[in-house]
Amino acid sequence: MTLRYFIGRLGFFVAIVWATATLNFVIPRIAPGDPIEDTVARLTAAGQSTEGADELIAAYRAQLGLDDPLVVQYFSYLKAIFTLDLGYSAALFPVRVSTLITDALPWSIGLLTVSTLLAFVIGSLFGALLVWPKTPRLARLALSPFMILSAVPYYLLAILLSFIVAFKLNLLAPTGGTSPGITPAWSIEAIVDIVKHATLPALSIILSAVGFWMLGMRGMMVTTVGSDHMLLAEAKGLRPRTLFWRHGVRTAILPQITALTLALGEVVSGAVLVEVIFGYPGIGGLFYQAIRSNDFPLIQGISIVLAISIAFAILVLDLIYPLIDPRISYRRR
Amino acid sequence: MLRRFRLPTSRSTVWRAAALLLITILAAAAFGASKSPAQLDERAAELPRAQTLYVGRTGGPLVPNGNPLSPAAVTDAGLRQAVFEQLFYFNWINGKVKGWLAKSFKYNSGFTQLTVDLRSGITWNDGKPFTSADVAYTFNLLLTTPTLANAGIVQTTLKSVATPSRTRIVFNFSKPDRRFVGNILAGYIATGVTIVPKHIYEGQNAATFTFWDPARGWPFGTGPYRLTTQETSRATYTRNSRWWAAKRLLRPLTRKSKRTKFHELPAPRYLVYQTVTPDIEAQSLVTDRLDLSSGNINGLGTWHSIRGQNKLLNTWSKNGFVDPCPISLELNAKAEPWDDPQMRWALNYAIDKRRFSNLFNQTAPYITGFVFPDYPRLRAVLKENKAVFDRYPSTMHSLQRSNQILTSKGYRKSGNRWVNAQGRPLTVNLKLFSPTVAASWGVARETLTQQLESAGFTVNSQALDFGGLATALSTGNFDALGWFECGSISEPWQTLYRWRNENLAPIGQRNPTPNNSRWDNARYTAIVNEMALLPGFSAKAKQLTTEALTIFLRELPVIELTQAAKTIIYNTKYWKNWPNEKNAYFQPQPQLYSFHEVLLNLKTAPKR
Repeated sequence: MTLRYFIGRLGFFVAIVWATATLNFVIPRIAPGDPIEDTVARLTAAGQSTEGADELIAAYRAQLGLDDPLVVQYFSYLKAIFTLDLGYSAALFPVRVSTLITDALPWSIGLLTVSTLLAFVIGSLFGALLVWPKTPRLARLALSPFMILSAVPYYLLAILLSFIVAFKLNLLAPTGGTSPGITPAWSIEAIVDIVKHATLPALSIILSAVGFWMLGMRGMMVTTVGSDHMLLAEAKGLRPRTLFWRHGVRTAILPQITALTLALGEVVSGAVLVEVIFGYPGIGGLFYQAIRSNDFPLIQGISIVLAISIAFAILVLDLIYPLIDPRISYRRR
Repeated sequence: MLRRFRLPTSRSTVWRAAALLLITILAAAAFGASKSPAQLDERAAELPRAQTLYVGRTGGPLVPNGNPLSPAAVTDAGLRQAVFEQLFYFNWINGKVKGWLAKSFKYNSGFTQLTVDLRSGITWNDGKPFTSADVAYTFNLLLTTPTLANAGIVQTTLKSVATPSRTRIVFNFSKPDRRFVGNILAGYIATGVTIVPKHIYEGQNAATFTFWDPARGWPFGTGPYRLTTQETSRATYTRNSRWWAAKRLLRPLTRKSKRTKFHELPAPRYLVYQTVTPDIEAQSLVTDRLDLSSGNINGLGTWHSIRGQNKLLNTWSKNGFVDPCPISLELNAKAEPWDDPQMRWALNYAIDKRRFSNLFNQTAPYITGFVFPDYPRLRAVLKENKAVFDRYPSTMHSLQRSNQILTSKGYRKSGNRWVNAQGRPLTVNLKLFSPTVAASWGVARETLTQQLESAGFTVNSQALDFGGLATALSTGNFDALGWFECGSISEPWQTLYRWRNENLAPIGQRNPTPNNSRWDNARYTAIVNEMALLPGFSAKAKQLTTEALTIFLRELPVIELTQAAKTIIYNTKYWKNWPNEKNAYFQPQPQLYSFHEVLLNLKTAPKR
């Protein structure tokens, strides 16, 4: 890998983040409605106390920097992103956006990274086995239902799982990241509790995503199995296991890795509906509440974290892809 | 030149690096998760079910903010109910104020001064004494900081606060205010001021202070519980064995009494407020995972669907608990043609309120004819004014009367639609809450639209979220708007007072008053202003109430669509002595300040 290639990709990463940040700044400002008016209207309406709302709005505007000219606001905003100080939440003032995100992010990353990787591994393996000629017929029949699950939205699976596993069978807790009274910590008891609480949300994501990975892998594997290099490898008398893993799966999995990298880039956005249904303390539930309450600073904060994360995933992909697939080169042709 | 530099990469090093990156991310996530929620109790362990009270809630995320003066502070998840305490509590059922941190109050004859006496021996949960200095400090903060919760309403009348002694506070008003105790000190509906510890807040900017530092035991109040752990969907509290009210005194409280404690500790050792979706809430009640429903859900649908599945469940009454804020249709008195009272009556006659109520609440129709909540003392007021309601039958559904009015105003039918003399359809811009705010609003929109269209109106209906609807209401951008009317609980004045004509803003500008209809009637305003200083049930007040109701109903700026029946389902497996229609010692909603009183009255249920 040349330094020029690396710097070029890095520049592309910075450009994506800047463009997204700028859009993130512009769109809420040209959208109809005023987040501060909305927030104050909500607060005063909820308490039926309208006295002093003008002063409240003026004070909020000053505190959130919305009184400044647009150019000043823009550069303050870029500086804030650079220094990771995303300001105050409008709906949850005076809690800082960075506090809310850093509190919620670990839960989503933990839940979604594990469930995405598991779904990828299981789905890709099952997808490859579905079209591998030596797979027993019974196994193929057993694997097929997973494809049907890809058509079921994961939040429906979530509701179904919580009803059966949590309420009917009483095996796992239906809501939360931990049991009441358990504090997340580096202890066996806490870790077991966290895993138990993450199992149902993770299962609903995995069950619905496995089919997606299976479909992708099956499509690529069909092409691979019929290709000349497989015929040659078989003619050489290689063992079936070597044929399957080294010549079949390895060739077919390349597009899957692209999709996996992008999926991993999106883990920071959380699984909105699953987190809402299971009361999981991740960023998806927070995002949902931010949208419901027009909390623009928080929406912007989560969006920018998401943009950086996806741009970073693309950067990593750009850097490692030539190593995974020798047909792609670091050099310009 | 750059081409000469090569980064040390090979396939194996990249795979190793990717694996390392992944492990680092997961480890960081695990470390972050272990840091994120409040860590207030290092000895925390899973809670014993029989000693824990589980309460449902439906509000937004629980965030690290323990400052009760923040306008955006979460108010429905235990901090206000169990950690902080009020000077007084307002009992909606009997209309009386119960002293708690304060033992008594007295107004001067002109209601320009209020003297409040605190109980002695109260301490904050960090051991420091709770005194009049804390109360005065809190109110002085509200007088000087407009961004604090309730600062606006406090500044309307409060001029200054004095503390003649450690237990006495004197409030001086800029104009007479005879309801300061009920509205401000007793947590009336949602306007109560919570007192904060001066020794903590001094030197802080109260507007941006979050009062949140688990390592220092923040937040804390004077209440019977302290916050143990919090994540975004759940707050857990532990009973505070050193609660001031449960401390044994050297002498009995009074000469007659033998009691040496002001109050026993509450029965539940732990308290958990759990955010739930309606489905999870219903199943949690059925499976005994929840002891009390959130109390924020319109209608009795959940109750109907689960009551047969767990015999230990019960509810306030067969009609649910009546919310203090009836569901209404605000009519814009500044938008043509609805600025004409008769046109508003034509609209009212076109709506079948009984049918609406039946569908909205999933109960028998529940309407009273006016936007008072159906509480005993207000029910009596409506009964006393039966003649006014006979003259202005606000609950009536009559397409014939609606048609008569519209014809008299020059409208004619073109096909099934009313049109004016120029042939333009008679349009109602109807705005309502979106079903995402509450599912029953989906039914409400469908029902109202269908009823009005059947009556010949052309309806442009729009479903908005809370902020959008509140903004439309405030700027007058509507013809008719579905809302909720919070005001009176025990005397008629609080609701009537909302429609005075002072300081009304023109359409398009934000209206600083609670007169959402922008209805402008000088005589009515004079009456309610006069009522402000009268005892609610004096002969003069009764006479003025009748006069105000007559004007109001004649002009009808707002229509009562239904009383709001809330599902409050409680579980008697672990806890008993829940408030209900027959044992109505206090209002039952767990999201209110007054749930403090329910907490103190619950008892352990016998083992089943």
